[in-house]
Amino acid sequence: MTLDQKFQKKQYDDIWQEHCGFLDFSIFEYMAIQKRLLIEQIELYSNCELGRRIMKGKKPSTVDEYRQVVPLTRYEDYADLLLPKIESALPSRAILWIETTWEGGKNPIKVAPYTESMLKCHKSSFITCMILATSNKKGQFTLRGRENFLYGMAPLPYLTGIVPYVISDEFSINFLPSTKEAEKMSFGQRNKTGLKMGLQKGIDLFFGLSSVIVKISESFSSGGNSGGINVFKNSPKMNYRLLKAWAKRKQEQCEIKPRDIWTLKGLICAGTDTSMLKKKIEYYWGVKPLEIFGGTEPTCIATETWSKNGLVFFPDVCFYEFIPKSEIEKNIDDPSYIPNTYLMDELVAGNEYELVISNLKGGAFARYRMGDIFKCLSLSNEEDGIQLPQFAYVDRDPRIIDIAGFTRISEGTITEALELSKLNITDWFAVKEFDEYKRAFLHLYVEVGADGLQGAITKDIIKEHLSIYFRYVDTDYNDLKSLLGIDPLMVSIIPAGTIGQYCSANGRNLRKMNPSPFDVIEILKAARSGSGKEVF
Amino acid sequence: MPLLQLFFWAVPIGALLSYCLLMVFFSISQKDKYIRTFMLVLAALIVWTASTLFMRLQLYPGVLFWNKVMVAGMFAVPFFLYYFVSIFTNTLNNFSTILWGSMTAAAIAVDFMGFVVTKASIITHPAVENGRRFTSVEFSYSLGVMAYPIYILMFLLILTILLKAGMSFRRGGITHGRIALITFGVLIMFVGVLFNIIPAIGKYPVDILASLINAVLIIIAIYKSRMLELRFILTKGIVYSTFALILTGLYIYAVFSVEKHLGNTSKNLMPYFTTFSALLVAVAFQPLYRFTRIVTDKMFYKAEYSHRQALRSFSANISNNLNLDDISREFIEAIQMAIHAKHILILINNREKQHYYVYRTSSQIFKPELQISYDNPLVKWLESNNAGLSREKLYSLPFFKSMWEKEKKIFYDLDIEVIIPMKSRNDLIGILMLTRKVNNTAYTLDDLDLLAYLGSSTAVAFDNARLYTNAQSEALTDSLTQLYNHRYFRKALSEQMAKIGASEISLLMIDLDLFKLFNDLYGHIEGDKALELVASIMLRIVGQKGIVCRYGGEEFAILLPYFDSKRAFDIAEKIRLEIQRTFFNSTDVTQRFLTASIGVCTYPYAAPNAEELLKRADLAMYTAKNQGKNQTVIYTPRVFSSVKLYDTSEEGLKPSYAATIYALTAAIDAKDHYTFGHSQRVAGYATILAGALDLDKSHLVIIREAALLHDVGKIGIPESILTKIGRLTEEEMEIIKKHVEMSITIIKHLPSLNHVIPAVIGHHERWDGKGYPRGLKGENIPLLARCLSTIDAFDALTSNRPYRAGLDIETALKEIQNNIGTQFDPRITNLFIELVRNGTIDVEQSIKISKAI
Repeated sequence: MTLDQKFQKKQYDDIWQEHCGFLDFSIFEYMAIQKRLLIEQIELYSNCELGRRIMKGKKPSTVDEYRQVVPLTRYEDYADLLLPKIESALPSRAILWIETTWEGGKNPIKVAPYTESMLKCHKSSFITCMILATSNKKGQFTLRGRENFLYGMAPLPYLTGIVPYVISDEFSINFLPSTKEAEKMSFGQRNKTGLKMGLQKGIDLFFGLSSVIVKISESFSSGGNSGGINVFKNSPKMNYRLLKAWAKRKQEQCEIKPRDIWTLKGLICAGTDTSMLKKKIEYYWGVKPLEIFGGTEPTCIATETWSKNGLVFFPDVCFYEFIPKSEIEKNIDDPSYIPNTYLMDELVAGNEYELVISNLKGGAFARYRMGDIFKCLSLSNEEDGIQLPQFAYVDRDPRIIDIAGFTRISEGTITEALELSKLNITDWFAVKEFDEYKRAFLHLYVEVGADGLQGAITKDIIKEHLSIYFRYVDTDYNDLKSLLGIDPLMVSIIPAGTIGQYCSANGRNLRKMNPSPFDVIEILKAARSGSGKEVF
Repeated sequence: MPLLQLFFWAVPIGALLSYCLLMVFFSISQKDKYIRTFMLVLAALIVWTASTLFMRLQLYPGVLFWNKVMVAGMFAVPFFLYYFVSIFTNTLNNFSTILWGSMTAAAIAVDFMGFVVTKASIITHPAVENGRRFTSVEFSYSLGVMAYPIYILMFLLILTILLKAGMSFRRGGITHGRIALITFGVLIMFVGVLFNIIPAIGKYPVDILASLINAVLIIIAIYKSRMLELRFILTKGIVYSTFALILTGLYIYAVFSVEKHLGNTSKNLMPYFTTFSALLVAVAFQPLYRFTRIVTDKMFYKAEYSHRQALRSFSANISNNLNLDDISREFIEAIQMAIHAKHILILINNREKQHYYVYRTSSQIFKPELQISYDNPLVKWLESNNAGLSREKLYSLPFFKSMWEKEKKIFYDLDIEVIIPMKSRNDLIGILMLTRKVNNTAYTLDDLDLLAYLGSSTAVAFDNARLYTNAQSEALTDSLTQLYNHRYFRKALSEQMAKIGASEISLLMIDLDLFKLFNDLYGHIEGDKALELVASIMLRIVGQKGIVCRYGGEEFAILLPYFDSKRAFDIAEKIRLEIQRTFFNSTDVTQRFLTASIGVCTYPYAAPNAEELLKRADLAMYTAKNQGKNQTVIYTPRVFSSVKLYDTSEEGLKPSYAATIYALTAAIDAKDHYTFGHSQRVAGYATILAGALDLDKSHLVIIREAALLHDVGKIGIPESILTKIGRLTEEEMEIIKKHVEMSITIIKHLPSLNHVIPAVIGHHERWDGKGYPRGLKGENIPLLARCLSTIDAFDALTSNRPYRAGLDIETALKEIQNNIGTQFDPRITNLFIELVRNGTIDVEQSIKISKAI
């Protein structure tokens, strides 16, 4: 029976049970699912070229053995088989190949195969997210089918493009704009058209990158996006709402916020800076957004629940392991060090971990380091009666700087850009910082060589060189400015030799990407006082 | 009354009564959206029919008024029918519904304004037919200007209904049978209403009859769709009462007809004939009433009827039945009778392999390879739930998230629709699976209840059958080895002899060599383990080719039907060599040693009957024993043909073994001159101690030989460690400890000295379990080993070592005494101390002798 049929029969309890019932699991039940499905995956994995390579020709019979045999992997370990899409090497037949940019990789993009059961699972996970987005209380939700869904996400071959296709055979949703029309539009066009259609038909659901949602909201409130209203095309209800909002604006002399026009059933958001932007989104749209987490390699793997205050990982999408922060740092300092991993039932509340996933259901990735850092908020949520660990997304691995979920910049990218620029930059480090509007940007601190003509090499030249390069390697970088109005790069020049002096004084090397706040403060202090020159 | 006149009255009255009765039934039944919508259709039909009747009765306010009401009802019916079909086919469209609703409302308004029927009257006039007078009633009406457009509108609506139904059928929304009924019903109504345009026909209630037929067909469609069990509407009492009333009516009519007929001919005989005819009719109607009840049961309580029948037949057939095959067959038959599933599968528990497997199916040609392991979430769910599991739940409950794709696919491919646990005393004995029903209808709650009941009843019967089979098999099985016992062997021997006819049968008699000694040395627990291992070896090698039995103690018998002596010999040798390999050649030094002697005899070549076969196989086995054990001997009538591997009889080997022992002792003495004479002294003390322990002669020999050889492994230890001055490092200690294992490795190559192994291997074990190499504790350490342990330590203390001078006897004894209960066996050690103190063991003399040598 499809979800539509269940909606028609008003089987809401059954729907909740099917899609959100896993939230009633104990950690023991949760782990039983994880472990049993991993054994299935090992079975599939051991019968293919990719699996034999990653598992070194062995076939582990237990989860512990699997964790001993399989090393922690990165995309490089798969690239030669996945980039040419060699299907015969995979554990299961790929129905779809999903793409994303490969930050600091040898190739501009990386691809991941999706099997039929992975797609089924992804569909189910996303429906769960939709149900939870429209829920404020356990077992109660307002999703009923036929909702108008403003879907502000990238189309295929990106992960977010799967959803419109997979959920359509389960229940009816009116995508704004329709999937067919959206395919032909650019990202910005789609959002604009969707919003315009929303003004005519109303919006019940909204899914977007947190940074984009905020930008759309701000622009709407300032009147930038509300143009082109045609009262004849609008539904009477929408006209009434517009009229009401306009009257309010006149009366209270305040801006029109999206919530004055639309009463959303649910709002789903994702992206690295979500935690910073959730309050803003709620302010503009009048509903608590539901944060979800996913990626090209693992699919959609975590969602917040009805109280929207902590992510829970789906038990049947991937097998999860976690590297504690202390282990990550050891590994950064000494790349040959193999960090220890812990399972979901071995975590400590309050600690931060890097996520390691193994695809289930015939996926390609095994013990794959995602490079995403999560904080384990608590081991259960007593208030909601959930006995599973609750997480908050912290950021990318410190070695990667992610800006608004659009672009990811690695040490390799910056090094290459600086080399290509032919500028005499002797040392540098980069830090992810936030502006007064809580928008992320990359702050690059550079030292210019002693023989370099400091006067000629200005910050602007460096910035321009880097911007050109970033645009070249990452098309999304361009969108940051055009779509979100963010200037993602800031360059500061510090006196030559400051970093070197600091390192020799402390007897250790400075991390290039996101060094600890303490190190940054100390270097800047030294830069200001040591040479008498200012950081500019 | 002519037929047309009867039709004029009977149709509206009959239709109205039926509608009202149905309305009452629906009102008191459980209602869902289909029933509620159909009640609207029914209400319109009641208005239509009642007003027709009132019009014919010329009730107040007049014929024209009732005619208008009748037309309003007639217009309302297609609209409600449209609404019902939309709901039924799941194609409800708000816009179209409102549009048709408004148009219907407008048509009714126009009707009441008098634009549809302008005049209506009932014309009555006396008439005569077949010489009988009666009043003829006819209905006359004139249509208004709006009649035709509105009729066209109504026909369009009816056509829309037909199209809707047709489209739904094409989309596959509703199965053909049900939608065909609705389509046909609407078509009949359409034709009926069409006749109203022709006043010559329209004056008769053709439209009412057509609507009645339509309503009946819709009810059948609802019933067929299983959205409603008729028994929810019609209670048993109502159905029986209705039939009883009809029959009573017929009965009274029949009696009165007879009476009336007789009344005209012979009034005198009337009372008799009346009584007689009443009796006759009563007798004739009784079977009719009974038949009616059966038909009612079958028609209206079809499912319940077949359920009852199935239960009755199943309960009768499985009571007191303890045969698993019979029960499962009856079980499947009962389900087939009640449910009509395409396929039924019974899976039962295989406790050894920890899975459920297909035991029986409803079809000879359908037996899928389906095994559900204990760790499958389905098993876990069924264990903790007593209710059945539908296909829908299997794919949607989060509990089944851990199910593998291939597991899901199996259920999908087999088209499993319902899964029922078969539990007895909370133990999941089996699993019942049903595929779709033959008629593709869904399983009802009643079906699931029945299956759950049958499942649990069968589980109890299965459990009892299993227990009975186990008990039966236990009576014929040896509980230790799980082989057939002596009783079964005797039975099987005569059965097989009778069965093979002129063919051959071979018998192997197998006896484990020195098994008593094995038990004495290692204890009965180890002895039992050895028997189990030997049994498993024999079962593995013989497989389905023969019958393996434990004849008694350490003796086994194997029947090999259709095996000649050569092939039987081959099997015997395989078994013997496998036993030898398992127990003797093991690289694990702690492994026990064990061999077997086997006698083979073949009927009819070497034995004329079963008794002789047994006797001669036994004789051959004893011959093998006497010829040195660990061999196979075939019994032949003239000479014994035997395969002699090596002569291991003690007598034959004694001189060479004695020499070997002394040679090895000398070798170790030469290597470690500080312990020179140690083995000899220990042998001397040990023999005296064993004698004092009242051990028999064979044990005295064993302990002496063991004592002489206990340190033979030191040959393999580097001299630098053996003779090191100063304390040994941890690593060196570990190397020294290895000498025990090395001793065993050396002794293993001397087959007839194998009996010393237990004593040698255990001489560094400690009473508290902290010794090596096996960490045995207390009396688990072989007795002779415990003796050697005490004596070995004592002699070491009294001997000079590179790093210290030997202790005096009393100090050494005190040291030994201090370690009683931790290192040494209290009983043996106390006895030894006593023997030294009372001079039975002359330590000084022994030391002197050693030194002199």
